[in-house]
Amino acid sequence: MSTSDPFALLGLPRRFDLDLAELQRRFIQASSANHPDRFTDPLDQADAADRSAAINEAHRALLDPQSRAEALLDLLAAQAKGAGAPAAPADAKALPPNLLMEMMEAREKMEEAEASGDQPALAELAAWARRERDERLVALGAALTQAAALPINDHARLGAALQSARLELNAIRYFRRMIDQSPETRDDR
Amino acid sequence: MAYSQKVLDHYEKPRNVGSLDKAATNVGTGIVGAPECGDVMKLQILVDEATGKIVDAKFKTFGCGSAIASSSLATEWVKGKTIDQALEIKNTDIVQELSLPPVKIHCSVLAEDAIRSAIADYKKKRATSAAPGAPAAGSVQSQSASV
Repeated sequence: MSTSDPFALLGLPRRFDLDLAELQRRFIQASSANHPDRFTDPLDQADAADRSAAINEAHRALLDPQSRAEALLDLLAAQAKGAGAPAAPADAKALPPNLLMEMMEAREKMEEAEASGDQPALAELAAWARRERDERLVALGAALTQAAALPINDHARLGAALQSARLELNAIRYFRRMIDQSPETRDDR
Repeated sequence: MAYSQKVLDHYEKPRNVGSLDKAATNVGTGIVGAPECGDVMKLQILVDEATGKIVDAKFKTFGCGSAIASSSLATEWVKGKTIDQALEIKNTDIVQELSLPPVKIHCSVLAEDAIRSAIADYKKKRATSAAPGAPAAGSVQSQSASV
């Protein structure tokens, strides 16, 4: 969905702290207006099916905070570029200092705890990863809210806010990966 | 996703899994990650200081099968090479050897980055330990995880 705008598709403002009830209302409205059963002509039905798929996709992208942030960050970065921001100043791989080292040690501990069946240690590691993820989601939201509020031609501050959002988002992917690969999450599936 | 036979072979029987003493001055440690997916990879080299050759290599990768296979292959390839020869290993060589599909090319990039990062760490330690009165090369160990 990086090529289109899920916010525009559902008639919602471009913001991270979306009103989730409003998102739900707009989604239901848009889905019902574009339901293929409302159309009799096969071509109209096919078009409606395409629109419904796009609406579902947009809803999914906006419901999850991480993918909502990804969508918003892409849109804001494209907007900044369109307004003449210096080309690709952002470091796409930016990470908080020591994060990789910390993550490697945490993953090694998780591997050991899994091998020895140490459930309390596993639970503690998973709780740590979720806490880190949640804290970084808050920081990510703050950076995106700041970026969205800045004048589009304030390249320096906008660039800094977008870079800080990118850094948090990158960090979140590592914690998410750890949570996804933790034994308790895998067993839930 | 269909993995190639070579990827499966490395995935099922990974070579050189493990750790070397990262505080040792003749060990270089590289830790790299792929923000696209959250994979983390650690690659370590043990260098014979007399010959400048890599005599042992270990890795640990938490990620997909292709990332594990790429790092497993990388440890096999660096062994017996001098550090300058090891720097010549390109991610495209790994892609070719493992027949990685385009969506998994970043796994091979990760492995190349890990080799470079391990060598850079080794060189940095050598420079530090050569300086008189410099602290022992164990600084990486002080950055413990807050878990």
